Amino acid sequence: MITAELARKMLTKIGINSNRFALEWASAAEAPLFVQLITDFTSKIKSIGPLGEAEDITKDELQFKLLAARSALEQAKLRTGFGKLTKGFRKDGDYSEQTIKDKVEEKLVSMIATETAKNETILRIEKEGPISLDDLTKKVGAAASDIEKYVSAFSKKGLVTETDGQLSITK
Amino acid sequence: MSHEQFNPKILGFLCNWCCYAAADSAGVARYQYPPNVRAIRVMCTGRMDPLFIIDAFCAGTDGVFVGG
Repeated sequence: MITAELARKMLTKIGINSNRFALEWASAAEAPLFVQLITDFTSKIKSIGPLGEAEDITKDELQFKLLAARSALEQAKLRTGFGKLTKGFRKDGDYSEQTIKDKVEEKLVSMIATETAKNETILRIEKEGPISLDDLTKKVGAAASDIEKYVSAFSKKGLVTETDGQLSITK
Repeated sequence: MSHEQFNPKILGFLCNWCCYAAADSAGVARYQYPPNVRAIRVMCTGRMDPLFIIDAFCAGTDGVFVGG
């Protein structure tokens, strides 16, 4: 359930309707219930419409956002944050929906935002570079100061080089 | 494309012990349900990772259903 909440927050962050994701329960003996759940979910998705089109995002943009979210989820920072959070749940033993929502909101949401933006920055420099800092900020849609911070961190690591105000991946 | 014609692609992650078995018995009992769901069997819903869900959307599905 915490995983589901994290996934929902991630989808919301990249601009996908989080109703596209559902977590439901049906036991092995509850075939009619399962049929009901699938039928309802299918009609819900039908009413939302095709991915991207309904959200008013182009396919390429969406792919960028999804790839950024993907690498953010792969990396240690978000995963350790998530692990620490679940540890707290085990200690308290309170798994109510509201508590999960509150805790994820409190502990993970800002981390999701920074990690996704950071990954989108490097991804865009790689795919669309050479690119200026201004264009980068506009496309990623985060605060300019944050983007600047990520870029300087990347250049310190030697991943990104700047020539005449244009950023590109170090060859 | 109107929404009547739109046939969504839905990815279903079904737990081996619960929903997968329910889907199986729904088939045996010949219940009718929409054919949009492509099922992936996981041995337990606890195996789910947020990455799977993002990956599914990356691959172009319109919805993800996790059944425990």
